[in-house]
Amino acid sequence: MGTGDLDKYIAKLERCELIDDGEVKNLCIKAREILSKEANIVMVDGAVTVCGDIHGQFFDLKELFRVGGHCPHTNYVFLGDYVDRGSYSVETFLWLLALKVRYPSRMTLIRGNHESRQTTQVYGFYDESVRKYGTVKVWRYCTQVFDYLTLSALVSNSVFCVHGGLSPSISALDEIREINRVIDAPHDGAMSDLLWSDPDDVDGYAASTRGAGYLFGERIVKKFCDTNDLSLIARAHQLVMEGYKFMFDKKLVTVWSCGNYCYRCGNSAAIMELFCTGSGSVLNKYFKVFQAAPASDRNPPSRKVTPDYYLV
Amino acid sequence: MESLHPIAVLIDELKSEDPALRLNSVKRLGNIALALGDKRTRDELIPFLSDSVDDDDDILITMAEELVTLLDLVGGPEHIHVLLQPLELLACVDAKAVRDAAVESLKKISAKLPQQHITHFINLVLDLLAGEWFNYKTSGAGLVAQAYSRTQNSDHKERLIKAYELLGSDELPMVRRSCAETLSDVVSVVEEGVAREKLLPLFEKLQRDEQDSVRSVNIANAHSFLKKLQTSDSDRVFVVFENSARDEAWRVRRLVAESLFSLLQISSQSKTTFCKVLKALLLDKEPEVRCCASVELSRCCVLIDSRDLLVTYILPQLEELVKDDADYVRAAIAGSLSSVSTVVGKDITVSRLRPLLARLLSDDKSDVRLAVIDNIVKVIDVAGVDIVEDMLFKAVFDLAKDPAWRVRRSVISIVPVLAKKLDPSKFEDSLAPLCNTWLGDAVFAIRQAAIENMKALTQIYSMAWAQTVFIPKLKALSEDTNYLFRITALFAISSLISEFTGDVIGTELLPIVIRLARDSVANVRFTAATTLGDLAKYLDKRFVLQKIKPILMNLSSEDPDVDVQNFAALALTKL
Repeated sequence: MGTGDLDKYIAKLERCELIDDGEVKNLCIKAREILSKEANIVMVDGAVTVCGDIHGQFFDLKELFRVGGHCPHTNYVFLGDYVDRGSYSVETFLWLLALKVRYPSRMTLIRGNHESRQTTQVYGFYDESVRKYGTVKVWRYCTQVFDYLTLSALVSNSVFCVHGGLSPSISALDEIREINRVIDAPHDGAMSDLLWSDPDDVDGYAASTRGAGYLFGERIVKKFCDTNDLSLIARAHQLVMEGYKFMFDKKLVTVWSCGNYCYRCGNSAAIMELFCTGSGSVLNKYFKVFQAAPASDRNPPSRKVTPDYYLV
Repeated sequence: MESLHPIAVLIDELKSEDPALRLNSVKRLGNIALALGDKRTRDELIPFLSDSVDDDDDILITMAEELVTLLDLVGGPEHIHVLLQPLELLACVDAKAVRDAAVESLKKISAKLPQQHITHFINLVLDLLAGEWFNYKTSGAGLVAQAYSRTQNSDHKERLIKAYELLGSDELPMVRRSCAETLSDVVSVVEEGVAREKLLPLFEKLQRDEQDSVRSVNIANAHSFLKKLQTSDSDRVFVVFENSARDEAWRVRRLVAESLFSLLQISSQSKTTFCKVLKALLLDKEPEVRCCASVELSRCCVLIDSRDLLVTYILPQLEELVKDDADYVRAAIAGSLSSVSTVVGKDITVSRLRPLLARLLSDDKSDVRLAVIDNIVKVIDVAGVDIVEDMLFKAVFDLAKDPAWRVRRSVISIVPVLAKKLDPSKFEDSLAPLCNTWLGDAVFAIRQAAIENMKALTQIYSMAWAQTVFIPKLKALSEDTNYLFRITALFAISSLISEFTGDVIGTELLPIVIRLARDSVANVRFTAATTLGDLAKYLDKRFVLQKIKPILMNLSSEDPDVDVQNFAALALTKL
C-alpha cells in the first residue's frame, strides 16, 4: 500500500464513501505498524489544534475541518472517542486513521474509552460495521488498531492531552510511559483511569458513577501540573454545551468537538488552537466555537446497504 | 450464457428458507428464464412466482421489477400476457411499495401487449377498480390512463371511466386520494369531451372532499385540465383554483401558491384574476402560505409583467410583508423584491421599493439582509447604484462581522458581483479593508473564500490595484505568530500568481515565500515548498534554477521533517 493508495482511500472516505474490507485490512495493518512505534505520551510541537469527542458524526467532523483547516496543513491532536452513537463511526474512524497513516507527524490520535471492544458492542460501532460490510471483519481490524492508539500527548512540554483525566496510580508523567498499553481497554488501573476519569468539585479522588475511572479535584490537578511542569491539562470525555470549559483556575480544560451531540443535544462544538510565540517560549491558546453542520452540508452518498457478498 | 450449475443453484435458492438467498435468486429471474427456455418459463416459472407472492417486501419489490426483464423470454409477444398474472397478485398485496412497483411493471408490460390481448389487460384493470379492498382500487387507479390509451374499444373506455369516477366517491379517503393522484394522467389521455363531461366534474367533486389530503393532491390536476380544455371551459377550472386559495386547510392554500406560476404560464385567464389570488395568498393568515407566495412572487411577477397591476395589487402587500412577524417570510420577500423592481421600473423602485429595501437591509435577522444583498444587482441594474449604495455598504459591513461563518461566506461571494457595479475608488475606501479582514478570519473556510474573492477582485480591477491593497496584507499575514495565517499567505500567493507579472512575483511575492521556506513550523515550510513549485512557471527559467531549485533541493534532502522532504521533492518535479 503506497501513498497513492492512501490518497485514494482518503478521497473516498472524505466523501463519506466506504473503502472495501481488503483495503481496510491493509490500512489497519499499516496503522498498527505506525502506532506501535508511538510512545504512551506522544511529544507534539506547539503548533497544533486539539479536538475532543467526534462519536461517528462524520459531517460534523467535516465541519470541524472547514473551521480548523485540513490535514496536513493544520496539525491535529484528537482526544479520542471517534466511534459510537453517531451514524458514521466507520467512515469517521477510517478517515482519521487514513490521515494518520498518510501524515503520521501531522495527526495524533489518542485512545478514548469508546475505543474498546466492549463499548463498541453496546453503543453502535459494532452494529454499524456489520451492517455496512455484512461481516464482522472490519470491526475486528479496527478494534485491533484501537489497542495500539496512544494514551496521551504532550504539547510543547506544557499541555498534557488525555481523553478522560488523571489516575490515583499516576503522579508523574514517566509512570504513564511505563504502562503496557497494547491491550484491550482494561476495566481498572492506571490506563483505564486515563480513559474514564472526570474532573469534579471533590477533594482528592472520589468514586465515579461511570463504573470506571475516578472523579478528581482541583488539588490533584494543581499538584499534577506542578510536579510535571505543565500549564494545562486538556481532556474531552464530557459534553460541554458551550464547546469548551475551563476548571480549576484554568489548569484544566474540557474540549468537546461534536456539535449537536447525538443529533439532538443542541450543544456547540469547539477546538483549541495552540501556537507558540516569542521564539517558542509562550504557548497561545485560541478556542474556536462552531455549530453542527447544517442540513445542506449533510449529504451522504446513496448506497446499497446490503452488499452482494453472497453472490455466486 | 452462464454455465448450468449456477442456474440450478439459483432455482434452488428461489425456494430457500433464507430470505437473502431468495432475494439473490429473484434478482436473476432473467438468467433463470433464459436457462429454462420460454416454454418452461411460461408453464413452470411464472405459475411458481404467482404462488410466491407471500414473501418479504424486498423480495416482492424485486420480483415486480424483474418480471419486466422476462418480456423477451416468454416466447414472443403472443405470450406476454402470462406475465400479467403474478403482477396482478403483487398489485393487491398489503405493502404499498410492492403494489407501486407492480403497477409500474404492469404499465411497462401492457405497453408491449399485442392488440388481441388488450381485453385481458382491460379486464384486469376493471377487476382491480371494482375490487373489494382499497389496495385493489388504488392499484387500479394507477393503471386507468395506461388502459385507456391502449384500447380502441369505446365500450372499454366507457367502463373504465365509469369505474374510475366511482373512486372519487369511495368511502375510503386513500381511494379518493389515489383518484386525485392519477387524475392528471387520465386527463392527458382522454378525448376533450370526456375530460369536460366526466373528469371535470370529478375534479370539482374532489376539491370539495372532506379530507384536506385529497384536496391538496387534487390542486396539481388544474394544470392538466387547462392544457386539455378549450378556453371557454377553463373558467370552471380556475374557479376551483380560486376557491382553493380560500380553502380552510393552509396546506391546500400553500399548494395553490406553489402552482400559481405553472398555471400563469398556460392560462388564458386575465392577469388581474391572478393578481387577486396572489394578493390573497400574500395576505394569508398562515405564515407558511405567505412565505410560499412571497417566494413565488419572484417568478410570477415577471409573467404578470405589468407595472400597473403590481402597483395596484401587490405593492401594498409588500409594505406589510417587510414588517411580517415571521423572519422567514421577510427573508422570502427580501429575495423577491428585485424581480418586482425589474417589472415596475426605475421610478417606482426609487419611490416605493427603496424604503422597503432599506428596512429589510437593517432587519434583525442576517438571513433577511443576506437575501436582499444576494439579489441587489438586479435592483442596481434597474435604478442605478446610487439608490442603494449607502445602505448597502452598511449592511455588508454588518454581515461581514456576523458570528455565523456561513453568513460571512455568503457575503464574500457577493463582493465580486458588487465590485463590478461599484466605482473602484469607492470600493477601496469601504470594502477593500473588509476583504483583508476576511483573509485573517478565524475560520479556515472563510480564509479560503477570501482568497477566491481576492483573485476575482484582481481580475475585475487591476494588478496595480491588487498590489497596493493586498500585498501589504499578505506580508502582514506572513509574519503572523499563528502558523495557520502564515500558511494562508502562501495559499493566497499560489492563487494570485496567475494574475501578476513575473516582475511583481519576483520582487514582492517570492521573498515572502523564500522566508517562509525557513519557518520554524514544518507545515509552513512544506506549504512554502509547494508554493515555490507553483511560482516556477511564471518566472525566468534560469532564475528558477539558480534561486528556487537549491532551496527545494535543500528542503528535500536536509529538512528533519519527512513531510517537508516529500512536498519539496514533489515541487522539484514541477520546475
